Amino acid sequence: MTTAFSSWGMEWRIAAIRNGIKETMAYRGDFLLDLIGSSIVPVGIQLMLWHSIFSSQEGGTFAGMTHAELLAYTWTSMLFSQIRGGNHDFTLIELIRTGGLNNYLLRPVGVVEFTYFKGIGEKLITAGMCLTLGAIATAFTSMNLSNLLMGLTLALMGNIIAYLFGAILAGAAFYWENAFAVLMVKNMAVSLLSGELIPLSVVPEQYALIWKALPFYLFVFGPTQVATGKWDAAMWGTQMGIAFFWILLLWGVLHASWRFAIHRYQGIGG
Amino acid sequence: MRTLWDVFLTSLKNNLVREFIYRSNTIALTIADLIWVVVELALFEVIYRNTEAINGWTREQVFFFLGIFVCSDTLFTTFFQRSFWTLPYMINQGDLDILLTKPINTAFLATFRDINFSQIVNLALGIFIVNHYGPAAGFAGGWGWAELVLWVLIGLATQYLLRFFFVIWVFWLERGISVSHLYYQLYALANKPEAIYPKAIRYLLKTALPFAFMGSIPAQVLTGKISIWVYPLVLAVLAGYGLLIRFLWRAGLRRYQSASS
Repeated sequence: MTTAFSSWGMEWRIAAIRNGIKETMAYRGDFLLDLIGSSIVPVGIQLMLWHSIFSSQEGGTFAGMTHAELLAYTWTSMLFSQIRGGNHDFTLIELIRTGGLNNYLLRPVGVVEFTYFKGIGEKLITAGMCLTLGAIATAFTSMNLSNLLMGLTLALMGNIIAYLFGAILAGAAFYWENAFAVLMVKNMAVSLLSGELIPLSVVPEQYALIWKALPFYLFVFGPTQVATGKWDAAMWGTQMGIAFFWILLLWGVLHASWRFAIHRYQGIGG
Repeated sequence: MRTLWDVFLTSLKNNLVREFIYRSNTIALTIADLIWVVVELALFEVIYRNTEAINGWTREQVFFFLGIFVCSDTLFTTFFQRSFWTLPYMINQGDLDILLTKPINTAFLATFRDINFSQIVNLALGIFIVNHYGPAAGFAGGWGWAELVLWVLIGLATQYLLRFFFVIWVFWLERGISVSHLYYQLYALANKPEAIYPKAIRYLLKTALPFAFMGSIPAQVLTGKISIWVYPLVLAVLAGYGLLIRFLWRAGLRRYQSASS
C-alpha cells in the first residue's frame, strides 16, 4: 500500500490539471452559471448594502472607508473570492467515507495531491477570467496591472492554504462516519474571516486579532488590499512570506495527521 | 391524507433513529448551524458598530428580522433541505424510479424523506432573538406571537415553493444541478432586510422571487411598519407559485425517462 502522498515528478500533476480543465470545459454552461451566480449575486447584495448605509448617513465614512473605497473593495474582492477554496476537501471525505480511497492507494499517485491538482484546473480557468476582467478594470479604475498580478499571486497562495486546511480537517473522516460538518463549520468561519462578506478593516480593533491570527484573510482580504493599492509591494512580500509559512506548517500537519490516521482506514469506509 | 400523515410519521421516526445512531455527526451539524446564525449576527453587529441605522432599520429591528428568518429557515432546513439537495441528483440519475413505483404522491415522498434534526436547536435560538430584540424593535407580543407563528409558517411555505421551483428544471436540462445551486446564491437576498435594496428589487422580492416573505415582510408587519393588507398579496403569490410548480412537476414527470433523463 502506498501512502496518501506521492513522490516528485510533474507529468501526472500536469495531466491531472489538464483533466480538470477538460472536465470544466465539458460542462462550461454549468461552470459559467455557477461562476456568475456565485460572483454577481453576492457582490450585488454587498453593493446595495453599502449604498443603503451611505444613503442613510450624510456623506462621511464607514469605519474609516469612503463609499468609493468600499465599492472598489467589493468589486475587487469578487475577483479573488472566486479563486479561493473549492470543494476538493469534501471530495476527500467522500473518498474516505465510501472506501473510494482504495483506488488511489494502489496507485503511485497521492490522493491528497491528485484531488488538489484535479480541482485546480477549474480554479486556473477562473483565475484567468478574473485576470482578464481585472485587466479590463485597470483601464477604468485606479487599479494597476502589477498590483492586480501581485494580488492574484497571493490569492493563489490562499487557494493552496484553503485546500491544505480543508484536507487536514477531512482527515477527521478516518475517525468519523460523516465528517462533513467539520468542513461546513470551517467554510462558515472562512466566509466571514476571509473578508468575503465585509472588509476586515471594519472589524472593531478588539476582535481584529481573530482574523490576523488565522490564514483566512490571505484568501480575499489580503489580495484585495494589494490589488487596490492599500498594501504596497513590501507588504505584499511580507504577506507572501506569511503565506509560505502557513503552507509549510499546514503541509507538515497534513502529512503527520494523514500518516497517522490512515492506519484506521479499512477500505470499506473510515 | 391519513396515508400521507402515516408516511410522514414513519419518515420522522426513521430519521430520528438515524440522528441517534450518528450522534457525534448530529452534534457537529448542530454546532455548524449555530455558527451560521452567529456569522449572520456578527455581520450586522460589525455594521451597526459603525452606523446608527440602515435605511430606517435600527439594530434591534434587523436582529428581530433575523430572529424570524432563522425560525422559518430552521424549519425548512429541518424538514426539507436534505431532500431538496438530493432530488435533482435523483432525477438526473434515474433514482426517482423507486419513488414513482410507490402508491403515494411522488412529490410528497421526494420532499419529505430526509429530515435533519440537528437544526432544531436554531429554532430555540431564533425564538430567543425574537423575544430579546422584539420589544425594542416595536413588536407588541401578546397575540402578536400567534401572528408570528403564522408568518414563520408562511416563510416555510415560501422557501419550500421557491426551492422546488429551482430544482424542477433538472427534468429539462442535461445537468440542471447548477440551476438548483443558483437558488443558494439568490437565497442571500432573503437574509438581509429588504430596505437595503432598490425599489425594483424590493418589488421582485415580493412577487417573482418572494424571499421577503421569509423575514422582511413579517418583521415589518409585526412591528406595525406595514398594514395587514399585505396578506392578500402573500396568498396570491404563494398560490400562483403552487399552481406553477404543480404544472411543471407534472410536465417534468411526463418528460422523465428514468436513468437516461
